[in-house]
Amino acid sequence: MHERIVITGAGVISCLGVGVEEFEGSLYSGASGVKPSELFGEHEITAEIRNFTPQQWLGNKGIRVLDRSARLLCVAVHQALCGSDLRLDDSGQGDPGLGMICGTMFGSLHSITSFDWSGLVEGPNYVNPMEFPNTVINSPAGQAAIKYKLRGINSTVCAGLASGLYALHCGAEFLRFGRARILLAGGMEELCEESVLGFGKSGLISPSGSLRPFGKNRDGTILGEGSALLVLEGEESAAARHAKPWMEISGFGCAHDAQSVSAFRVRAEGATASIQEALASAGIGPEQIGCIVSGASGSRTGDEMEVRALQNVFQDRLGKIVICAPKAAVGETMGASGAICALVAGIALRRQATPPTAGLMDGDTSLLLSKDPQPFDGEYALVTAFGCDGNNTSMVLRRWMQ
Amino acid sequence: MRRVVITGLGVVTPIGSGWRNFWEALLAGKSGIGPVTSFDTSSFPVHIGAEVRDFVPEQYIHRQTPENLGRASQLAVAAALLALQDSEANLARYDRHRVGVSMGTTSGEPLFVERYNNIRKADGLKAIPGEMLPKYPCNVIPSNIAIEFELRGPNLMIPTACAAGNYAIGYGFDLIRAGRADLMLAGGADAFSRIPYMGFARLGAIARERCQPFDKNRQGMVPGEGAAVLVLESLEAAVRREAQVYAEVLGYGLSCDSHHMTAAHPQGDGAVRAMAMAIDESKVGIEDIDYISAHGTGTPTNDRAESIAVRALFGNRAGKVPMSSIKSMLGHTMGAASAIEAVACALALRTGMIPPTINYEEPDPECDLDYVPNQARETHPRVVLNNAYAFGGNNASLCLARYAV
Amino acid sequence: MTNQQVTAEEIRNAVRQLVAEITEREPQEVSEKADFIEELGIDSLMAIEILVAVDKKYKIEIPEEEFGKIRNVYDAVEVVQRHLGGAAKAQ
Repeated sequence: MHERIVITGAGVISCLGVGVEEFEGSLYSGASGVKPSELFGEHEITAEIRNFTPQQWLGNKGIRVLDRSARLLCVAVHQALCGSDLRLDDSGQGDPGLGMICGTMFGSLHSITSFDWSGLVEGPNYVNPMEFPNTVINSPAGQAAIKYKLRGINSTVCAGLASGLYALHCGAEFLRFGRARILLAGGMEELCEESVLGFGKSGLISPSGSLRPFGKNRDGTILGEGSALLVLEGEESAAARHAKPWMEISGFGCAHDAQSVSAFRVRAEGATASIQEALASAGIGPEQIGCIVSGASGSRTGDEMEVRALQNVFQDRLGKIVICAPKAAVGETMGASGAICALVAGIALRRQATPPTAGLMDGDTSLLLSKDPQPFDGEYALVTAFGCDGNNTSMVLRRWMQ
Repeated sequence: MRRVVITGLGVVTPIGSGWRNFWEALLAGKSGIGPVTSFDTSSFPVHIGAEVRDFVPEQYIHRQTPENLGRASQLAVAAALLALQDSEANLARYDRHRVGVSMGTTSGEPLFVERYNNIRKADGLKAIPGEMLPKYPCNVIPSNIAIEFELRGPNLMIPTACAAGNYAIGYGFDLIRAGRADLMLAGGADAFSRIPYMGFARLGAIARERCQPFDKNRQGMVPGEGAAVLVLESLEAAVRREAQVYAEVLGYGLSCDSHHMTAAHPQGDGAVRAMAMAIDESKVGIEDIDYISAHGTGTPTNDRAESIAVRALFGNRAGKVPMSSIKSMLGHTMGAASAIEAVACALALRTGMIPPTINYEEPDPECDLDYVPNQARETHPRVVLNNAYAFGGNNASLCLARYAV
Repeated sequence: MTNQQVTAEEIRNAVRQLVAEITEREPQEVSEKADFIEELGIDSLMAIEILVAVDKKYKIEIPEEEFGKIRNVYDAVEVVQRHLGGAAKAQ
């Protein structure tokens, strides 16, 4: 139960590029994927994946039945396997010890809505049976398992914006309980007309079209999309296959505010408790945190809640800890965001520098934010993922040391 | 690691709500299947379903406005209330940060998608109201339970389709076992929706008249709805507060066929591995299993593959272990199914009775096990296995045992 | 296009195109007698997809039981023709 859970690889696709190298390069250059939309018309501002041509990684065969969510997840799986020497040839029987845990907020919302729409408009006899499997929320994970012969545990988890961190936590627990040898864990979310419309109507999107985490004049978020998966395994498994760990999952904390499914709890009890629990389960104090990778997304109340939670935990030291908010560059990727932030934390720990918070202009001066990379000297990174549905999660990652 | 026990049961099902009504109906072989009333089925080739009728959300939901919740959340909150009342756990005595919720579902709150499309068709996209989206993501189900009872601990939805209930109970079990939570409400919920109904109807998977799992002439499954919540806590805590213990959770197993999105692996590859993992983790042997709650949907392929899988794992013992499908009575309640079946397993362990597979008339040479045809049976099982399989090739088996002081 | 004007050749081309799309092949790779299951790898889900598409295109309703007996493009053309009222002329 006490085995150290290490991360030996990652796969990522986002508006900042495909694969860790490209993602890291764009992120540290201060680039942002927040732009007028090509998918939904220029009046919408999104952080979408442009000219998405998954065929270059997935091939042409079998791609027809994969919807956008499944394609995003499959590209992340492909990248993760390639980058970890786990690539299986197509003739292989698959590995019953290799599994996946995918965090998502909506699943394939577009497939679900389109399937229902076709039945409503054309009649139930004319729905396409091939599209029916895509209406279950675990469909992307199931499709990826078929394509890459992942025969071990296969799970999908949903905790709103906290889905990605929950998936990593569940993965670590499964490994500790001996239920799998290697797990691809993280998150995935697609952009679709339904989420763009729904978020727009709900008043959560920035009317000024800018995503300014912790900004004084922030006015909402910008939706993004993508998928990030981390390769999780026990220390022994990594050693046995000579895989070089990159970081380890040291601690996790979660708390629900139990107040509302649509409003942040500005008093931040849950968010504070989740950070405290993450630190406690890592066995460290707040003074040992070298950097913070925040899930702040430009929400007026959400970012306010996050600042309060960080102040509650770090108190006077908060202004001395470097902090970054990657959503400024990748947008609000919902179910994928926690995993993307965890990946950023891993990169930051390795480089000993946080990436820029893209386009930072009017950031909260009580926080050590910057539009440039910020060096730090530390072993531990804190990742936060808080949602307006009351779910709050925090994770402590540690730079790998024997 | 701590031993984990079930100390409260709550169900809202097509054959009755509250475990006493439910259990009485199950042992009597009562069917909850009838003509669909939620929507017009005149353009469908089939017309039956297993709906929860006469459900009055106001009876169960007090801290929130019932009409603000989707139907799956309403069913889930009701099941959670029944389970908490049944457990007699006094929440005031708990650290709320250590009381959590873990739920499973297939479709989450699909009625919001239906409403979205209805509005779009009638009045166009401009008419979509702003408050709809936040109520839709499937994790609102456990969130609404947390809000209703002020539970601040871990809160997760595991939407692994028709195996989701077992996954969610497994996660709750893990949290209690590892000492990360003191009390977990775990289960599953799904609302009756035209979306899966259209899909299963188009696949020709829905039976026209009744659900006959494992029968030679079985025609298919019957979509249903419902919710179940189980209260999980450590044995130590249960003993300390002198709680009634229905059963002990011994372990579970998960696997993936990675074979086909909708069809089971023909040799039951993943199903065998999930059962074997559950038995192994539970530190019991195949010879100890004395009842199997089958996934048993009533489709020709599922029931054949499940029978093959059980035979492959149990060998000569296969035909001697009774295995029934309560979906013959409840229909397929989707993400709630395996949670409802786990409740039935706990009650079988507690009462000594096992529920039947009803509508069983003609044996199928390809399904040659003991399906407990038509009559409940008194067998006093000690260790039982609860099987669940899902789209995406997700398999989950849960192992429960009688708890004797 | 009315039903009367649909020729067997048109149906054959349409079905081939459909089968090609669903099995991710070029239409010329789908021969008229190639077995749906054995040679083209069409599973039950794909078969229903073909059925729905054909029903939709020709505004007919082929019962599943009948469609289940179809083994290849040749059979499919015949069944579609029959449901169009036998009006289409055989080649």
